[in-house]
Amino acid sequence: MKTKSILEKKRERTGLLFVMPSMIIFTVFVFVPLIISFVFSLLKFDMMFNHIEFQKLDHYKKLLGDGRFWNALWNTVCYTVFSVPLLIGLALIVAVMIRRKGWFSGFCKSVYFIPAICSMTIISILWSFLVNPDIGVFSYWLSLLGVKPINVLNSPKWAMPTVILVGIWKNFGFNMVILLAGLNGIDESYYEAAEMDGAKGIQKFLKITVSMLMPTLSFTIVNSIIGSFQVFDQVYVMTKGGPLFKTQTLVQLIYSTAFDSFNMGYASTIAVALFLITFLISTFTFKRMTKGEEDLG
Amino acid sequence: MKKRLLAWMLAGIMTASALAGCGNAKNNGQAGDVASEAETAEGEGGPAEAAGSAEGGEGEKTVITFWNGFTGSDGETLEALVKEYNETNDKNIEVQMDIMPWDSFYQKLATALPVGEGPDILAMATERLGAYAEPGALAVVDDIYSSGIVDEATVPETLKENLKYDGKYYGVPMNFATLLLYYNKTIFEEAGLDPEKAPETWDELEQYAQQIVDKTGKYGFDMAVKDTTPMWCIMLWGNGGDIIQDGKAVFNSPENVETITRWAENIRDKKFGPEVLTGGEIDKLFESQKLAMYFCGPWATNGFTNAGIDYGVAQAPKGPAEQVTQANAVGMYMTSSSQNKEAVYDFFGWWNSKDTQVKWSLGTGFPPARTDIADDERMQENPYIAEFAKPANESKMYLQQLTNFAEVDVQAIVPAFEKILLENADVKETLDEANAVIESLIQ
Repeated sequence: MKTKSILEKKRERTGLLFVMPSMIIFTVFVFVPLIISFVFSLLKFDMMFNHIEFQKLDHYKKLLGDGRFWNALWNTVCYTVFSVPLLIGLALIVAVMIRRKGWFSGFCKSVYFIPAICSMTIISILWSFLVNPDIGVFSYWLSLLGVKPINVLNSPKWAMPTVILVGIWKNFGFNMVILLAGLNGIDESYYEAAEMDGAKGIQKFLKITVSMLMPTLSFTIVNSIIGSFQVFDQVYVMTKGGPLFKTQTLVQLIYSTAFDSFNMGYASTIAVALFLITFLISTFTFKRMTKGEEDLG
Repeated sequence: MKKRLLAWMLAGIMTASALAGCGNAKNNGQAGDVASEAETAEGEGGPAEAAGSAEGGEGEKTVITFWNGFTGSDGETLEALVKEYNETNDKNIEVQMDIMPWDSFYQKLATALPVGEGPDILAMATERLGAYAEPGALAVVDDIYSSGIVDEATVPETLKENLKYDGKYYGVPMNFATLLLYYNKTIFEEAGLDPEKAPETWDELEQYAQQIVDKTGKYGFDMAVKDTTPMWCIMLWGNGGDIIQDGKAVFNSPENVETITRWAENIRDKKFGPEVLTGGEIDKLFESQKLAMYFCGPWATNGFTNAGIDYGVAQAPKGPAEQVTQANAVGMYMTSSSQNKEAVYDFFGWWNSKDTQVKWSLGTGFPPARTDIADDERMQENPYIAEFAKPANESKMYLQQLTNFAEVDVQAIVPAFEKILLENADVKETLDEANAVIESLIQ
């Protein structure tokens, strides 16, 4: 093996220096907490870290028989199943509609994107007011129509749909902007060629737009799935997981186990479970999506 | 890919911690407006630097940190009093206070206390004491009473037991409050009721509420279930029931089934008010003059007076078994990590002095946490104080002395009321189920 020249060494060092900050941050804030969570999940201890007991896999056994966990998992899955298709579909439709250049589509772009950059907490508070049956403006409009408004956030039936709606309202703008960027990368010539071959609107959309967008779409889909599995903010602010645990998601359950019940060990167990679930699902989705891309190529 | 995933995981955790600053707190009605103000009152000087100066000579300042959740209108009085203490105390002590919403307060404690980064003093509801005293996060303060810095004889009897855990004192009184029936005189008049005469019994309360609902279309009477100072327990006790008695869960007693059936029907079926409100929501309903009657503590008086509502307060209507109301208290505790015991005791002593208590009472409408100043002339200025002080001996405190109060409340009691009020579930079955959960949690 050839010894490295001074220049190469220097270059390596520079490279290392560039990577260093993110690696350090990554180690401190991601790897270490991840390992700590796993260790915690095997332990039982009180708030002051006294009486530490090694639990072996007892917490995991408890998890499998814990109705609250399964309820939270079910709610999270429901949230994801309903919100991801809408997040992507809505974003795609709007993106296609406003892809043309001009002040109006620029204006629309901003309007749809603004919620995405706002804090979820503020948006959740805002929506809580909007749908409030006594002081909310939606309820007022409903009452003008002669419909008696119900307290949606307090209804076991309507709380989850409301939470989903708010999530979609806030987040689809983010996907839309990414898809717009993808759309702009599609060369006009593809469409011209397709037209010459006699392709119609819907065919053009499916065969060219959607196909060419595949890499962008797969990114937004995986991103949205992961985001949906982590849903917490709007639940915490709007319903605190209620009524009757109908909106309790996994992250909310972790929070309440850790900070209401002070059971950090068990909370870590749920966190590890959430990590595994998200990891599996997103890896699977990503594999499927990239496979689709290869087939296209 | 893994990296992204990990990053999102982290983002989840970070959001969890960053988001804690929202939601409504237990002891404050009109929190929202003042909350943001309180956020800026950062006092994280940190015990480390404070510890350094603790043993210092005359010229050096002792800084002690104090966390609490008084974000309501009572927070202003508290800030003024702490400022006064900082300016006037002769031991060169400075109290740095950090007021935050109660739920972020509890969350912050959970991460700060184990690593010794907590404040010197924290104030919280007495029902939370067990959760912190049991693992040793708080220091025993028996000697503050034995040395006479705080006079044990002046602490209200109901409160005394609950400043103790396992027979040892962990806290000194911060405030002591009882709940009364607030009623809106304007709505009473609209409904053709005498605005000077509040209902005195359950029957009257039902009759009044019905009349208000029928004649004005407004809500007659309601009780909050979640994130609130407990209200339903007033009814449970009034009919001779309880939730936990002598260490055993008695939530499904026949008395409770009867009480809850009756009042659930009133609220849910006769539409006395919306089902399952939070403390914040019920305060807002009363403040926006849509609700005629509800139970609340003295902390709401300032807010309602300022909002221009014509209201009165009256003793809780007498139940079939007894006349009773809920009392609650916030105690001040010293953390076991505090290095400034002398300074903390000095502040505790000052807070519980006659003068400070009179000022605190006058500013907030809270009855004094001392039994010997109710007749003080200065107290006449605020007519509500005497009213709230009256039921002190006919009051009980809710779920004290548990190590997992929050869990019992969130996992058993709130869901039971939600099931009954929202899903019309069978009362007996629901209470049986909840009782079993409570039993498993308090073992």
